[in-house]
Amino acid sequence: MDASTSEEPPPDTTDFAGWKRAAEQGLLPRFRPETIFAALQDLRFNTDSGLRNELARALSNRTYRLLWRRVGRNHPNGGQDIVDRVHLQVFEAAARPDSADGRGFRQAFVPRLEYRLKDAIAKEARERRIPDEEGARLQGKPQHGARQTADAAGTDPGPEEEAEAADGEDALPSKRAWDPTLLDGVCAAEQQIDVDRFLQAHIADDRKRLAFRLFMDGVPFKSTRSESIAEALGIDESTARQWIKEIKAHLKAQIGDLA
Amino acid sequence: MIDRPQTPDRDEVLLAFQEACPRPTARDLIDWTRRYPQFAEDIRAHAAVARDWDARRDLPVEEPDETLLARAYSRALNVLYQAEATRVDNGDCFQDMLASRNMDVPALAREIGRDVRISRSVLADLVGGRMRAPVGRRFLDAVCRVLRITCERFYAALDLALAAPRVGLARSDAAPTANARSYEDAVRASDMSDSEIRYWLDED
Repeated sequence: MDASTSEEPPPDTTDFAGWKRAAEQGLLPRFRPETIFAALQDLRFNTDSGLRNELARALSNRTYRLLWRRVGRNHPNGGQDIVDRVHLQVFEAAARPDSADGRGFRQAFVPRLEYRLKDAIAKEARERRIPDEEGARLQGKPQHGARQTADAAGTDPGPEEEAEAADGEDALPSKRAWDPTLLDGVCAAEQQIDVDRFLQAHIADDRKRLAFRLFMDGVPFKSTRSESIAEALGIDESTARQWIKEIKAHLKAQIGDLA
Repeated sequence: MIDRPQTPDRDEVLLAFQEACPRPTARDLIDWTRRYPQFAEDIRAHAAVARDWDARRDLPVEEPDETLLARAYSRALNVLYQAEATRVDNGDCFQDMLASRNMDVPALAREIGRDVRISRSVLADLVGGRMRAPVGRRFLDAVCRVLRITCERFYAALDLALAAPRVGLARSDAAPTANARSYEDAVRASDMSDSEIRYWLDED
């Protein structure tokens, strides 16, 4: 008996009669998805298709609801394709107990499901990405200017970096305040925009959204003394700046429409 | 963080990252991509999703409608039944397994029943397609051990046998039929003693 909930524990995963009773009593939705997944695997040779179907239905509904809640509607087809794909992966894993997912879903269902969902969302994001030559430049490729010299040599920052530090861009995150110019154009305090919702709705590139979230966290574009957006995302500083500039312009245009 | 194995598995690394950094910061990204540069792109992509989810955590939860749930359930069943069909298509039948080992049902009964006797009638039902799944654990283990097969192959052969049972003698008034029964019924109807029956039904 589960002391915290006073609910009856689930049957052993190989207990056919126990699961049959549980299904007849409508108890399946109470059990953890790991348990239902394991029972579906361990009872897979049972020729009682009625029980198998009930286990599959309970797991299917639970899985679909978990996925649907997580996937934003800003994906193609409202995210349904992603949900459908990952949902099927769960049952393919149930049919292959020796696979990594076949073992993984038994141990920790929701973390594994979220992991596979992230994979699917990331894959879709890569496929939808419009090639952006500036944004695609990775750290480590040859760069030009004083910034590289200072970084490579580990010397004191040159005039350009000192100027940047003066702007506050290279300030330590704890000292960096919210950028008040971000909401320039908002004509009244009551006209505030949920920036996160704006990003989801209007910025399709996941890397740019992440860059802007780090920017809102107060992370500098480039730094020799602390973490930076450039290093975190594996892009060069100019790309990071360009992305933020684009998003801020887009945001201001949205605010302008609402003003 | 996880101890770094010689060849870190992508799933292990990304799952560990997910658990350690539910709301990844710039520092998290730098630390993890330095530690696992071969997965840097994946780590960043997963971080982007994690931050998107974090941003939506206070929004109202959407629920799928019943039509979506029903379609998903239908597809799930297709996957499960297709997997089963593949398993059956790829399997050997019990007769082939016995033949390849120069055995027949009496020989199989002798091998399985070395410690506790098993009735030939139970094995005849199994091989003849007159026994439904599931079978007892001890019985399954014993048959798999003697035939040197996995339980997957056992049940594939059982499905094959059920699909093409060896029927009884023809009768003048009706076509021959094969009636499958449960493992428990086959054991209880056999000529085994009470203790042997309890053993093979995993009751002792």
